[in-house]
Amino acid sequence: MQAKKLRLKENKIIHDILRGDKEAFGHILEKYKRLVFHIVFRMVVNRCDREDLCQEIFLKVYKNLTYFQYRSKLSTWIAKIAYNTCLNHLQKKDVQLFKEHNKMEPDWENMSFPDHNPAEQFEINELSCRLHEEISKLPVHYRSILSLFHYEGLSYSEIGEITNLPEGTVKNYLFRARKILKSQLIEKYQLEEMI
Amino acid sequence: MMRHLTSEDIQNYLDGQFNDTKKGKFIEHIKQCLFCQYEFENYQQLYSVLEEEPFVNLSQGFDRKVMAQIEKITPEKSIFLNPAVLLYTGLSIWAGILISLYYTGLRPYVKLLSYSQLLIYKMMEPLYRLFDKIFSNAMGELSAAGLIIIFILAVVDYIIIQKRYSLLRFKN
Repeated sequence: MQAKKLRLKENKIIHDILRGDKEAFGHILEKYKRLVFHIVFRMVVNRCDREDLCQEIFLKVYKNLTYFQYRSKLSTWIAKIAYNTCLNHLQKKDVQLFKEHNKMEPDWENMSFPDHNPAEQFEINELSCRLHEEISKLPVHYRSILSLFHYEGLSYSEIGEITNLPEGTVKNYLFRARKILKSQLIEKYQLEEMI
Repeated sequence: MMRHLTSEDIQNYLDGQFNDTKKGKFIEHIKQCLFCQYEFENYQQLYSVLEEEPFVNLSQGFDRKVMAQIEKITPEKSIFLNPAVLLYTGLSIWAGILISLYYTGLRPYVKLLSYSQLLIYKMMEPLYRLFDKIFSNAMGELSAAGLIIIFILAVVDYIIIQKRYSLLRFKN
């Protein structure tokens, strides 16, 4: 019921935007910038390119809102635009999508952490750094699917719709990515603890 | 020999893909098999770290920059791609022709063309005379029908089409 109310509210905002109320787009921007940035952050290495891409994505969302036909959730539609924009950007830069990528530098300036006590914070920071490092070595599709599943809580079918991959392939990539991360991260971390 | 759980089994369980029966068997096995318990705990730890990733913020003023760019975009109503408008235009022209023919009839046009020596007119003449006969009798009714159709379409367009889809074309 709650979800239906939210959806109706969102449809009203879309309707207002299409009738020329540009300020209403601020609600869409506020609600979905986290989703867009997560996708961009995972797919694009270059820090300078990320924010430009996020802006480009939201402009595309605004210009193409008239073509949104309510067949999927707005979040899925926006995520698809974000994903395709990033893919086009990477293809222009001639990045190999299925090969392991260069290491991504942690974005210390822009990171924020949930509230924890200092000892916990240190441990989480360290694990997060290692996780970030290991994820950055995965191919682009693996990274983006991991992000969509774990940070956005999307289902296999929603991820499939965004990435234009069959559900089975999404599941396959997700499982493989996690298997790689588990063996790289957990075992290395536990080995260091023993030492 | 007990079959160990695969990586896929553990991930399917953690992703909530198992039904109650499979879940029960999975948990039962974990309780009995230390190796699988170790693997399961490793995956649990990975999942918890994946879900704990810090949120990366955009720069200050990002929203302002995007809204500023959106302000520059001018929406432009595209008349030519609006099917309802095309329909109105076509029907309005048709209604106009019918009304003018009602008052003037085809006779003057047939008379005018009858002076023409063009062969193609001589071939078309029977057709013109046929149209003249039809329109003279039914002109009033056809005009009224045309106007009523346009009115109904206008109402339908406003209620359904305009509200549902407004076609805005943007220029940068």
